[in-house]
Amino acid sequence: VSERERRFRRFGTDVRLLAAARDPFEAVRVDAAFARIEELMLEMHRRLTRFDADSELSRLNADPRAEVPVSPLLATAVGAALRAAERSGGLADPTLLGAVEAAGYRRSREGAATPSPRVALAAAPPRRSATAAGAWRDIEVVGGAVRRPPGVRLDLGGSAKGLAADLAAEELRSFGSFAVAVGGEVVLGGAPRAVLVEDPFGGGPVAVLELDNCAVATSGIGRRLWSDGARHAHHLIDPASGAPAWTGVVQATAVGADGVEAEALAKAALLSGPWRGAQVLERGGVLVLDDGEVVRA
Amino acid sequence: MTEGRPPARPVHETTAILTVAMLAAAAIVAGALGFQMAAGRDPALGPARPQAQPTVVIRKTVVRRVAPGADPAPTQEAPPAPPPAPAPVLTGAS
Repeated sequence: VSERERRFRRFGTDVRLLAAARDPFEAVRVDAAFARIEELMLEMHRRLTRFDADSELSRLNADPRAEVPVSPLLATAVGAALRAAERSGGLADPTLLGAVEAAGYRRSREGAATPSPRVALAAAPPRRSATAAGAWRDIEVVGGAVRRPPGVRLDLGGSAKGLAADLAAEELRSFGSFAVAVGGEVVLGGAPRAVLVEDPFGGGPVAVLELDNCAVATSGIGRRLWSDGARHAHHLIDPASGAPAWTGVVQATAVGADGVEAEALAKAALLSGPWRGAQVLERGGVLVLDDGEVVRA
Repeated sequence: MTEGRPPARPVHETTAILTVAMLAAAAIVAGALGFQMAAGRDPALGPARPQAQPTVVIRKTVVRRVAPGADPAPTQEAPPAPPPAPAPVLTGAS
């Protein structure tokens, strides 16, 4: 048994595919599955990115109609975002695109310099847990169309990566053992595998989780953090205030049944703050707090 | 005085000499032929041709000894090597 591997960039992050092959014939099948996954993720990126005005998502966001016919892929992605919102108690809200842009995240930050999290935290306001607002409840997927109040714009970022990991996992499920990592969203099948939890402050792994047949995702402020000179900001928005959330949790890792759920739980745990965040991680996970403390759930 | 012709030999003496000479020549020829044929050079067959030497193939002889008694114990097969551990993966903010 050998493990095949494929790495590439998509959705502004690293994608890594791993699958076991028992013989050379199965290795060929694994490589063919990798190629299909790469093609699928390219199609997802083209349709779902908000950084391209011609993407299907951007056209949906600009459409003045209340009900807009969409492709099956966009309908599935919006459905996944609504499931994530429900699973996170409304904290992973896909309707916050305007707030994210207002905070300064209008263009892709691929290759952009990132300030030190410690410097940003030193200047951050006091800890405050985020609160759900519920705007996502006005969105529906009806057959092959998305229905929402005109003017409400969607950002599918995190849930789309979780969905991409789930769809890729379906391609690899016939092989004995596999792993799909789309940035921090990881889906595992087969034999137990070590999952290293990255240190948001740049050190070695803060925890090692031994997991199988589940998903694990990490949400944090460290990678998409910026400064306009006067203040620091990041992309995790408090739905109630519409501003970047400084809750005391700088990174949350959550275990879930699939990639969409794990991503929703990780975001909810970070936005909930240290105490409620640990309760959100009902299937297990890790919190890293702003003072460097690591909390295992 | 006139000398007379020498007296001729008698006929029977000449015949005897010729006969002895012919027999001697025949004996010499027959001896030479006999010697030549004994050496394998029969003038009627021409020069002797070399005979092909038989090829000798040396084969290695393998001797197998079968020891009487109980069947030998079956060879213990080495346990299969455990599959390699799956590669670890990293999760972090992305």
